[in-house]
Amino acid sequence: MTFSDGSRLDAQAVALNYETYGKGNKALHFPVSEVINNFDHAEVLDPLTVRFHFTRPSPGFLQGTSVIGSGIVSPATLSHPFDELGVGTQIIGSGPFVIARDIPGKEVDLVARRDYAWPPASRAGQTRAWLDGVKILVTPEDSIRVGALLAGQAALIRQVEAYDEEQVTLAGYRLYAPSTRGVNTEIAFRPDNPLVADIRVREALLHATDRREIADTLYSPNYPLARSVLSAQAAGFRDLSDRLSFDPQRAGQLLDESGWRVGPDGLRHKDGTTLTLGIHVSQPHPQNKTMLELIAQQWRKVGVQLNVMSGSAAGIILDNLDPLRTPVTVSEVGRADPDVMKSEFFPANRDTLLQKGGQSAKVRNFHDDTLDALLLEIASDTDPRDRLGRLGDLQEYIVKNAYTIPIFEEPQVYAGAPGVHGVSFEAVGRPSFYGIWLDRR
Amino acid sequence: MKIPPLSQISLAASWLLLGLLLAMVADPALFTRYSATAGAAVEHLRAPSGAHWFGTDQLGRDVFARIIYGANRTLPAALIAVATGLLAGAGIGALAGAAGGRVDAVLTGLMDVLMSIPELLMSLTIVILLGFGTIHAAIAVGIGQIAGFARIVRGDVTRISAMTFVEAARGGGATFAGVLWRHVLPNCMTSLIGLSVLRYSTAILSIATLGFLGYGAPPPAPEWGLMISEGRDYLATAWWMTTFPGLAVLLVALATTRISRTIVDPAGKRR
Repeated sequence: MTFSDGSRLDAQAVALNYETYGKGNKALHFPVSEVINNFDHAEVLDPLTVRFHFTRPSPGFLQGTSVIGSGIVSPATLSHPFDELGVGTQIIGSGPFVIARDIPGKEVDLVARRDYAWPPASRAGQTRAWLDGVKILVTPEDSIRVGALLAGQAALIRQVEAYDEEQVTLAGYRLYAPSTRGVNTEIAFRPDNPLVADIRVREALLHATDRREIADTLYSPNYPLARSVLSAQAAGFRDLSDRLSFDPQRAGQLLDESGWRVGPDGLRHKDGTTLTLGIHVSQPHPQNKTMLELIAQQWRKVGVQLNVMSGSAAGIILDNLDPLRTPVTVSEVGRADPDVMKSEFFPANRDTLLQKGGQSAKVRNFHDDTLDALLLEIASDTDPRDRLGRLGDLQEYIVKNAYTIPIFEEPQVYAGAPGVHGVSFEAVGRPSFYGIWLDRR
Repeated sequence: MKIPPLSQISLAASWLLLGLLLAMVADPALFTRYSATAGAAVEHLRAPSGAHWFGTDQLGRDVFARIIYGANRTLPAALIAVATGLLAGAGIGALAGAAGGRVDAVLTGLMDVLMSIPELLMSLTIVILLGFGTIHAAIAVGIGQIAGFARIVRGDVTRISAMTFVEAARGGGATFAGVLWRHVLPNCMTSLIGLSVLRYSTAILSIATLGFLGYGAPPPAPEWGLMISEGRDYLATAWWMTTFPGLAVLLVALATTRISRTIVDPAGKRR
């Protein structure tokens, strides 16, 4: 087994990879992987065996090793500084395709490795990929992307918006909508902002959101309504849909109770402040701007103003770290392991709620030790049943505190031309080109 | 019966359109019973019909209502843009033309540098510095127009200052500022007004462009450029979302251009 630069994929290489993922490399700026927890060190026993040592149990480790971000790369790749790896051609792996060209923002060309002969067990017998190569063209415009498929210029396209689905299926093309099996697309609150620090305000906004209307107006059956913080296809999912009901009357009542009274302008005020929240559009999510406009329309009915903001990419990142600028944010993570919750909420990881001591220096007070303790317990619980039980409790805890408003389960929607066969997806909806073959009749 | 020439018909149509738009700016509710920002989500993406003349958008908002309320936003913004360009440009131009000498050389040089920067690029840079929003976009577009106004005014002022009646006024004891204000500037008016109307149409286009790029009013504001940009995703399935706001921009720009021509060249000699 070799990397595409000719070097051998052996225990030494694997150990070096995990040392880097598990502990990072400060000198070369490699961060610690968010999917590998409690890692201590890797020990090479013989050329084909590695033993991993952990400071505490790490039940999510096995799944963490199988995700796309944990691919084993050549030791040469790991000797480059992290910031030089922005171009795909610099990343040397051992898979069936090699990145031959990477023009950032425009194009990625994959070429099949002719000497590839180590397929996964699920594809035993196949050696090299059936395809000679894959040309990935970045086509940001929805209508042009769909047009390229329907005109026969593209064999497979990613991100077919719900409003284009019918066009594609009516033309006899096939839709693929694999689930991302993780934390559902949600509106997350930043309780450090005094406007949403009161649980009653958060709960009110949860009940003011007509999720059914969002799903019916903007999305398709490929986007199931969220029934919990986690996807219904995730292990340990607990159905909490009765707590996520649309109930504008209750919302109004909760807001009244918390002291936010409707003024003559139809908006709610308290001690001279208006209940106005800002949110940034999250470009990667399907129809996010439209979804936020619709939510703004719904919240306006209970007297809360939601400002959908736009800005430069850098400005958005800074704003999203400041709970005063963005008391609410849009978030979602795909990963097929209970640790996905830690990825999303733990202060040292994505820190979606923005806790004190987490990713943002602008947070003054908010921290939730119960939440963090639950996340850590799940990350180190070795009993699978116990672990999934805790995961259920965690979902309940988040919904009970109204920390987030889960909206829908995000799929990755692809469309393929009729002659494209063997399309498959990994656990969170990324395509695999290895088994694809073309029928050109 | 004699049919009026085409140019007369187009001129009358232009004035009619502009009058209609002014009425829309004054009282949008007179023209539509729908709201521009709140729609009925169940009625989204409906094709044009008797109930919704221009159809509805992805959130069930009436496109016709949004265009009307959008006029309320885009047209005054274009006015602010032209006013910014006009006031600053005329000031700089008049100073350069009247003062002459070194002041003229410096100011003219500065304006030439400004003119060498493409107007849209200039507006984009300024709007990023100022922050997003309709008024900021309008000011940014206006700053981009300063150089053009300054040039025209400087040319006129230099020409008029050399005329005998101006010399006579100076000789009669009038002050520099007085001559400039009473005798020179009023004589620049024809070309200034003509240019202003013409620049008004480009300002509408530029503001729509900035809105399209996302630098104008934030959603759900009914801004024409923003509407075109939002409708773009639905081009294949809901043509009315881009076509009608696009037509609105186009028609207003055409109408103002047509009117500006009659001001600069009333007899229609220069074809």
